[in-house]
Amino acid sequence: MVGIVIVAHSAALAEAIQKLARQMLRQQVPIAAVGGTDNPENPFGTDATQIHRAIESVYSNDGVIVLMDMGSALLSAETSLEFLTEAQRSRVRLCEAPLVEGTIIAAVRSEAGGSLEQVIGEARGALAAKAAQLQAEVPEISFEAPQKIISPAGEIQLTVRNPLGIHARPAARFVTTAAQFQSEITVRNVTRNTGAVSTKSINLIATLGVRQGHEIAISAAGADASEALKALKELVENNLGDTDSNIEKLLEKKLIKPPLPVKDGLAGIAVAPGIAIGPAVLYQTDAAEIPAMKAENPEAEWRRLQAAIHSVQQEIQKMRMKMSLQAGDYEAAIFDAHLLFLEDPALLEAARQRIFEKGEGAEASWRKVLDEMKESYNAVEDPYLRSRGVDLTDLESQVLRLLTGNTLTSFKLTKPAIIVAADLSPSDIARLELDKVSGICTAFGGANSHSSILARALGIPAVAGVGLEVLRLAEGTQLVLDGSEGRIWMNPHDIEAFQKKQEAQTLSRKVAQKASRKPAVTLDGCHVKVVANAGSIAEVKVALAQGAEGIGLLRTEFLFLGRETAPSEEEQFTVYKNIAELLGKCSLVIRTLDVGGDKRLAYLDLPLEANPFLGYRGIRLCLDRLDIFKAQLRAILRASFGHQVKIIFPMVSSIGEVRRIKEVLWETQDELKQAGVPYDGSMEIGIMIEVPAAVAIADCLAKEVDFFSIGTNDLSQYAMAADRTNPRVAPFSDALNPAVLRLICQTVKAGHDAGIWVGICGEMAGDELAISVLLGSGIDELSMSALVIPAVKQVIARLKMSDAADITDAVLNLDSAEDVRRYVTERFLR
Amino acid sequence: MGRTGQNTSSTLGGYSVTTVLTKGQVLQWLRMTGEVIEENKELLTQLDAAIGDADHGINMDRGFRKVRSQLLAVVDQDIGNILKDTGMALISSVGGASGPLYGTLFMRAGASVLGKQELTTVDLANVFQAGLSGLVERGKAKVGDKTIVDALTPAVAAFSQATQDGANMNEALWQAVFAAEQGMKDTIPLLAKKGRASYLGERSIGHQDPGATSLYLVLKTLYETIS
Repeated sequence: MVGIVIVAHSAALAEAIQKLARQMLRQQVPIAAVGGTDNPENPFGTDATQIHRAIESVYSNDGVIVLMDMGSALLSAETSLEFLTEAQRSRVRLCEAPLVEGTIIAAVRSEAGGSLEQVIGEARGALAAKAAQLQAEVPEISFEAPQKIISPAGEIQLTVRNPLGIHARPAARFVTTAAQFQSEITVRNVTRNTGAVSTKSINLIATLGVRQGHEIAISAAGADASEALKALKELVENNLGDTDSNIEKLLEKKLIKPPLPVKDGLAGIAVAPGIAIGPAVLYQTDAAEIPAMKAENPEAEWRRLQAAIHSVQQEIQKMRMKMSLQAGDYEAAIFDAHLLFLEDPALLEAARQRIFEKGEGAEASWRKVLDEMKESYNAVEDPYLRSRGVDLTDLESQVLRLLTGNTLTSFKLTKPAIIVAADLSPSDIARLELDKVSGICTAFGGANSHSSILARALGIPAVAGVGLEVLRLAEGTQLVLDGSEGRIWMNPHDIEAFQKKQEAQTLSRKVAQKASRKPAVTLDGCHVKVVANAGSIAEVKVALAQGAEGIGLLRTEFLFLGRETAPSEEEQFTVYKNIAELLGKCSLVIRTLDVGGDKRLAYLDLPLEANPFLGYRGIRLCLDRLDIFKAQLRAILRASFGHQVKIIFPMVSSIGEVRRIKEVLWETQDELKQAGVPYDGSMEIGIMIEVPAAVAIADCLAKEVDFFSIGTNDLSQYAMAADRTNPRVAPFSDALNPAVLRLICQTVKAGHDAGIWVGICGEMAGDELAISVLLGSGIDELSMSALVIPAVKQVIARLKMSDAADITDAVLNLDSAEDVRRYVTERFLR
Repeated sequence: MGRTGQNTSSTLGGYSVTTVLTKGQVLQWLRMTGEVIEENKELLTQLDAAIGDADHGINMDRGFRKVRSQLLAVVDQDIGNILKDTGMALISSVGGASGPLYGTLFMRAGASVLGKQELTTVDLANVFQAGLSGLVERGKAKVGDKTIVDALTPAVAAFSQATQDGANMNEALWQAVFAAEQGMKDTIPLLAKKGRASYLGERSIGHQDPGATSLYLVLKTLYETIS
């Protein structure tokens, strides 16, 4: 957990804030309070050496956040950093958040396992939240506020919380979400007092320069205005889709080091770690020649430009697919932003006007419009947004190449090499034969460019910004590249030393992987199968690295969300097959589409429902939309051939549904058989147990399927009739409630009586306190978020299966979830 | 102009020169500074009462008491380390903003002359420059913000200028003290931009800055030590 240091002029004040924070916590978050002098007559003051000791007392590798009151507290806190080691200093941050609110929010976030960046981000938001609260309250007190309903539309104000603000990908998600509605929607940056721009234009949105903590105002006018605002609000509140681990990847600050002079080599910016050794191959993209002629026929020029843009869009779709498989879904979303750029009405309209009103040709108009757009990006203060100019250049040249017929000189690698280039665009990287690229070195660029993000995700050692000199290297020059240090060496004489270092790195990676891959075994020698939940290819990779013995739940919604049409059978097949191949002999449980009224998919045309979680969703919907359902079944069946694939169906509540599902599945299998398409005929079929009705008839259901997986998140909220997202009732839906635990035990017993295995997926499987209870219930498999696997394996290694059974027997008769927690904690301490 | 002092601690080629500051003088200066601050504790506190939290004299006195109490323990060290230890002592005992400010000043000053048993005029110029840089880095104040910087900046400039003009150490220091005094007095009409005083806004105008005053005292004591 992230440690917290409270610095105040008065010891009493600091300690009181510490107590206030502790009241909010259930666990021991490391918090130190420091302040005051030891002089009773003049008790107020701060002392950098005391602050230093306080930091050390709460320091761990998770980092420390220091909050302070004013004046000397700031200076002393800054001074205290000088006493830390270099390594410590990189994990200690001073935070300007208001002391009381900031400390409490930081403590809560730290307890919840937040990273240092998250804790700081939340603490910083404290002031904004308070300000918003006070402003919001004012009009409600007054009864004379008719202005509140001035427009038929409506406006909402929100604070943007994700650390990078609205940069390309979040902006893309914003545009995609807004585009699902008919209403005219605009957004403005309240903090920077900008004008309102249309949500149709990703470029205009990006130039609002929205950063973390900025307030934005979204207004919508039209029939579905309130739904649109609701959806956008939700998106912004969910950090515009930037999950925590994604953001950390983007912010791998330790990789960003300033250039240093190097002997016999060049120094740049460390972009992606690892050592690469190989010959230099220069990658050059030729600038397209532009005909200077005036356009004779504007209609024809406009059509030509549209056709070129369309072809580029198709190419980008292909690149997106390739990158999503090799780098991960989140990284591939870079290409979604590119697609949106090309659909941007502001951009297209500007190009059209140039063609029709100035008589420019397709090439000239496109180049000028893109250049103007690049300039407006360069004017933005935010360096992160500024670096997006490279993406625009990428799109500019791709379209120009098509217009001028200058196809890209094919770039073939005959053997593994280090790519040397001025700069690489995301599309350049997507076109490379990645298995032959041992390293990437660019003259320009930085750690945050999209191509750097791709290189990191692809695991290719890379150095950027080494300067023009590198472009003068002779083709084939032997290079050594150290992506962790940000250096390259030309023809080094001590190449063996680098080879040894490279081998050592590979070896230590393997050893670490091996250790976390050891199976989880209890003290009395029982093996517990620990697998992971995943919702993208990237998460599957993380799961394997963390030591998962397979994927216990692959959510397939990632393939279906944020697009205009359902994914084709072919597209799904490629993804499932690639994941199955990644897993090798490990098992993969694929869950069929589980969406409903809470996730609006344009092509499903679902009605809004008052209670989407009790509504038309999961298997209920799929059995009505056989077009979508059967395409997914075919893709899964085809991927099952030669792999350890199992299939599972969500939201089952009756025997009839299971029988109907099996009919559709058999029908699909018959069709494949007739077409001569291979599949695994003995693929196991399972159902999710998440509706209490399914528990009640578990004995009957067990006769129909090969396995159960208990989805404890939904099961507990359905069983307790308490919405997990409603803070007032969320505590009711605690999965450790004896009522829910009894449902779990009933399900396991029904499954085992019928001779089938029962797994569990849901947050509970990763809850260290729940492990013994679950094992005691006889559960066969635990499926959890990949990140908690190492910790859970440690818990299992300290348990005895015989004790676990006792614990479960005992807790089923306790009064509440708190009692269960207390009981398990005490048993462990004993 | 100033008097020519008799610094006989170093001999070059048999005749005495007045261009070095010895370790003994540094220790003496630190001890005397403590006494001077103690004598002026009330003055500094009154100045602070007008525009701050009325603790500058108390805090500085507490800090230099700590410095004095550890002087015996550092006599075997070189000047660089003596100054660094002084900085540490101030940081851990002053309590107010002057702790990290003066502390950083002394620590950076010490770091610029590590290992030296005596300081030449050039060394001393480096000491001043390093101390000023540390101070500015820590407090982020500019000349005109009504802070210590207003006294130290002209003093450092005057010392360097005098050295370049061929003045000996005493003369150069006298120029520095004179410049510091001027800078200190110039803070009276200023509007405070840093620290607690800045909360007072217009009310800070018309009062001399206590930090600039203590800095002047520290420098003046150094001059008196070698004269």
